Amino acid sequence: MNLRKAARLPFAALVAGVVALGSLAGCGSSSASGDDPTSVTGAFDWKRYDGEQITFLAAQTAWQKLLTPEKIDEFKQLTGITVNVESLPEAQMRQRLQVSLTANSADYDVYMTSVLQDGARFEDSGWYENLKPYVENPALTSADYTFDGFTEAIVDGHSIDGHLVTLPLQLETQMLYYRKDLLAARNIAVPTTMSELSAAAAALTDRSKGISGFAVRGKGAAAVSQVANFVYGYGSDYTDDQGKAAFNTPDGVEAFKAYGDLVRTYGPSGAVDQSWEELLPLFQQGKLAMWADNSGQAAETLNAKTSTVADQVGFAPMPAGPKAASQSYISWGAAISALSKKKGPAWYFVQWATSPQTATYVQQEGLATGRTGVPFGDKVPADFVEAFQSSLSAARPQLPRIKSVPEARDVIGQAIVVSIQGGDVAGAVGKAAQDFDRIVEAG
Amino acid sequence: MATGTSTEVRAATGARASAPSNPGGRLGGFVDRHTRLVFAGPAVALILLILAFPIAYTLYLSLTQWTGSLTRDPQWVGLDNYVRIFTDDPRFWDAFGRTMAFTVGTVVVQTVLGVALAVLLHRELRLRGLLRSVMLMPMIATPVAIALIWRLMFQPDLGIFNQILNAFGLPGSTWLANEKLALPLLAVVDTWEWTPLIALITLAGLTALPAEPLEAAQIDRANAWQRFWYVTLPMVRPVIVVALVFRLIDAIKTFDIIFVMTQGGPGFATETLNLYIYNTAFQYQKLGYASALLIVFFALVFVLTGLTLSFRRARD
Amino acid sequence: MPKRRTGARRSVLGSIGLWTLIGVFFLPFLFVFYYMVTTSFKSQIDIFSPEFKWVFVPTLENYAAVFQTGSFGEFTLNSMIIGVASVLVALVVGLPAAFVIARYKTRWIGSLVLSSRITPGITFLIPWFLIFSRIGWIDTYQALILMHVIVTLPFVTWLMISFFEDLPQELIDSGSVDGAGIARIFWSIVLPTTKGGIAAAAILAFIFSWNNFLFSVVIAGNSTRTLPVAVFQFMSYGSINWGAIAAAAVVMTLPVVVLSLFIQRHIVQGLAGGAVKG
Repeated sequence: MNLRKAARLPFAALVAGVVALGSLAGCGSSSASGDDPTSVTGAFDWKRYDGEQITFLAAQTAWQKLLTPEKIDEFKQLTGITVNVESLPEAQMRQRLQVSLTANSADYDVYMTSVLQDGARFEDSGWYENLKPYVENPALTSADYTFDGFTEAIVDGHSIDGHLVTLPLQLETQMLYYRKDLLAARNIAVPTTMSELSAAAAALTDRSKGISGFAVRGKGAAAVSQVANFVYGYGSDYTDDQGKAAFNTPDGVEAFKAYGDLVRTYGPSGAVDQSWEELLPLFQQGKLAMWADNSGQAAETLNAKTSTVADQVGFAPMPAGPKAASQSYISWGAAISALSKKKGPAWYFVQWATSPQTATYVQQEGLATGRTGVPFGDKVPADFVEAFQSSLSAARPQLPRIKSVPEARDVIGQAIVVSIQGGDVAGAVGKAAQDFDRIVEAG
Repeated sequence: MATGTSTEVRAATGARASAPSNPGGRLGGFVDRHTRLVFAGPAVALILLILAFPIAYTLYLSLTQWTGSLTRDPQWVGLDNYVRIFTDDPRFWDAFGRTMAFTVGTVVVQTVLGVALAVLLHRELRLRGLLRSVMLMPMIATPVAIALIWRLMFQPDLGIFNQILNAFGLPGSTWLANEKLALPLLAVVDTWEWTPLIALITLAGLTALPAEPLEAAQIDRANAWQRFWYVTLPMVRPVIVVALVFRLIDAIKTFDIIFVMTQGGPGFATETLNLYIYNTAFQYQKLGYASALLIVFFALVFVLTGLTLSFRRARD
Repeated sequence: MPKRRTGARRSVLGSIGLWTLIGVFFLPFLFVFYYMVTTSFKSQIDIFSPEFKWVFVPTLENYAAVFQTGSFGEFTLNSMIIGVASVLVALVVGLPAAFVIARYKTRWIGSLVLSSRITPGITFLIPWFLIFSRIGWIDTYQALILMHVIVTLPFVTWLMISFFEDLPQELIDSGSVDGAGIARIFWSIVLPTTKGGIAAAAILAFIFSWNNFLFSVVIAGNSTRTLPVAVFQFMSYGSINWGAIAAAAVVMTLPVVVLSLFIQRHIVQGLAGGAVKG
C-alpha cells in the first residue's frame, strides 16, 4: 500500500462520517434531562436537594449586582444548594450562553434571559424548561411563593405557546434620568414632550464644561431597545399586522432622525460606541444633564459610592412623542436550561430568586421585579416610583416580536448609526426595513 | 538521549562519504520500505481529518437550514443559501468589499514600509540585534493584549491620541467610534503588527544577495536610488513576493484585533467576512447559511492559495 | 557592504539622519509596549487624568486586581496545558512528515500542510464546534488541543523542512553504513543533530497556540478557558478597569516575548512557511 492509497482512506471514512453526523444531529435531546423532577410528590421541603451544586450564568445587570455573595450564602443556608455564579457583560454573556446551548452542553443549569430578545428562538431550539409544572407542583413550590403576585399580563409576557419559559427578575421601562441641579440652575422644567426635550438638551449642553445636554445609547444593536419608544411616539411601529417591517414609514424615518439628531447634537462624543455600560459612568461623573435609559440603572445612579451626582438625580417618564404618548419595557428573567441535569435544584434557585422575599429585598434597593404588591423601599425616591409605575401602565415591548432578534437588532442598529452620524436616514431606514423583511422571511 | 547520540553523530561524521546514497531501498524492514507512509502518514491523516472532514460536513450543512436546534433536524434547502448569498445579501458583499479593502490596503502599506525599513537596516549597525528583537515584539505579542491596548489608546476620553491632540490645542477625534475611521485604524494596528515581518524577510533577502551586480552598478556611476531601483529591488523581488503573499493570506483572515477592538462596529463599518460568518453562526444561530458563507470564503482563500503555490513554484 | 568613507563630517551627518529615520520607525513599536507597561502600573486616577502622565507614582494595585479576581492561575495553566500538548502532538506527527518532505521531495505533502496553514480558522471552527457539540467534547482539553494542533502543526513542519534539507546527505548515509534502519537514523542521528531547530519550532508553535483566541473563545468553557479569552472577558461593565486590563496584557505577553528572544532567528522563517531563511 502506498501513501496515495492511504490518503484515500480517510475520504471514504469521511463520507460515511458525514452521513452519520447528519442523523446524529437531530437525536441528542431525549436523553439529556434525566429524572423528571416535576413528578416529585410529598411535602415541600427547602432541603430536598441538600448538597447539590448548580451553575448560574448571569448578565451583568442591576439584578446581578444585588446578588451578592451574602445572598448566595443565604440561599445555601436555606437549601444546602451551592450556586456557582458566572457573570459576564451582557453582550458576552449572550454569546457565551448561545454557544454553550448550541453545543448541547449542560454547563449552565440556570441562566438569565430576556424573553423579548431570546424567547422565540430559544423556545424553538428547545432550550427552555417549561416552568409551569414546577410552579403547579406543591411538592416543589413553597406555599408562600404566591404565584398570583405575577399578573396575567406578566405571565403571558413570559410564556410562549402556553409554556412558562422564564420568571422575571427585573422589569424595566425606559426612563428619563436628569440632573435636578442643572435643570434648576437654568430654570428648565422637566421635559414632557420631544420638542421640550430637545430644547432642554440645547440649553443644558455646555461643551466648555464637558457637559452633554442629553445622551442615549448610540451603539447600533444596543440602541434598538431605546429607539423603540421614539418609533412608537412618532406614530410608527416595528412591524405591521402581517409581521412585515413598518418602521420605514415617514413617521418611522422621523423617529430615527430625531433620535440621531439628539445624540449627534447634544450627546457625548463617540456616541456610536456607547451603550449603557459607557453612559452610566458618564452620568455618574456628572457629564450628562439628561439621560434616557432603562429604569434598572436607577440604583447605580443613586449609589453614592460610585456616583458623584447621587443626591441630584431626578426621574421622569419618557417625554411623549408628537403622535403618541407611549412607553416601553423590557425584562430579564431566570430560566432553567432544558439541558440541565439538575433541574430540581435549578428550580429551587429560580423559585428563591423570584420569591416574594427576594423581590422585597430587590425592590428595597429600587429595582422593579415584575411582582405586584411588593413595595419599593423607603429610600427609593418617590419620583422614580411614580415615573416607573406610570410608564409601565402604558408600556410596549422594546424589541420587535420576531424570532431573529439579534440579527434584526444589528440591521436596525445600522440605521441608528447612520442617523447619528448625520447620513441619509430615509435611505438607511428603508434598507433596514428591507433587511428586516429578509431576515423574518428566512426564519 | 543527548549523551548517547552525540558520540553517534561523531561516529557517523567520521564514516562520511563511504556509502552510496540510497536510503531506504537496500535495507530491510517495513519502515525502510514504507518510509513515506510511516513518516508522513500520520500527518497526512491528521490534516485530512482536521481539514477535509469539517469541510465535507460544512458542505452538507450549507445545503440546509438549521438553527442548531435539538428538536429540529437540518432542513434540506438545496442551493437556496448560495442563491441568497449571490443575489440577495448586500451585507455579504459589503463585508466582502471591506475584507478586500482591508487586505489589499494593509499589505500594500506594509510592503512599502517593510521594504523601506529593511533597506534602512541593511548596513553595519550598532544595536542591530536589539533592533531585531524590538521588531519581533509586535508580531509575537498576544493579539488580544495588543488590541486591548490600542483600544485604550483610541479611547476618546482617556486615550493617548486625544491627549496628544489636546495638548496641541487641537480637537480630539472619536477614533474607533467614527464610521469612516474605524476600518483604516484597524489597518493601522495590523500594519504596526506585521510590517516587521516583511522588513525582516526582505532584510534576509538583502543579506543573501551577491555583491557583484551592485559593484558593477557603482562602477557605472549609478546613484543610490538607481542602484536600489534597478539592481537591488529586482534581485530581492522574489523574496518580497513571498512575504507579500503570506501577509495577504493572513490579512484576509484577520479576526482577533477586529473582534476585540470594534466587534465589527460601529454599525457594520468594520464587519469583514470573518466577523460576518462568526455572527451568522454564533449570534444569529443560522448554521446552514453560515456554512454556505464559509464555503464561499474558503473558495476565496483557496484561489489565493493557488496563487501562493504558483508563486512558490515560480521561485523554486 | 557598500563603502562609505567620503569624509568624517558627512558620515556624522549621515548617521544622525539614519538614526533619526530608524527612530521614526521604531518609536511606534516601542511606544505601544511602553504604554502597556506604564498603564499597568498607574492608579485609576492617573489613567483617567485628562493629560498623559509621564511621571506618576507606580502602584501594584492593578496586578493585585488581576490575581485576585477570577482564577488567573487556572487560566494560565489551561493555556499551558493546551499549548504544550498541542506542540507535542505537532512534534510527533510533524517532524517525520517534515523529514519526508525535505528528503524525499514529496512536495504534495508540503502543499497539504501549507493549505492547512492557509485555510481560515473559522472554516475549521464552525464544523468542529458542531461535531464537538454532538459528542460532548465542548469545554474539554482534547477538543482544544485538537484545534490548536491546526495552529501548531504547520509551524513545526514548515520550520523543520528547511532544517532537514540542510542536513548533509553523508550524515544520513553514514547511519545506513552502520546498518541502521531509517527509523533509527531519524531517531538517533537526525533528531539530535537538529535539536536546536526542533526547540525553535516547538517554541514558535507554543507561542502561536498561547496567542490563539478564535478557537478558544468558542470551544473553551468554564473549565478550560484560556488566558486571551479570560483577559478579553475582563472588560466588565460600569467603568472598564483599564489598569487591570493593561496588567493582564503584560502578564499574558511577557512569557511570549521572553520565549521569542531564544528563537529570534527562526520566527520569520516559521511565519513565512519556510520560504525564507532568516
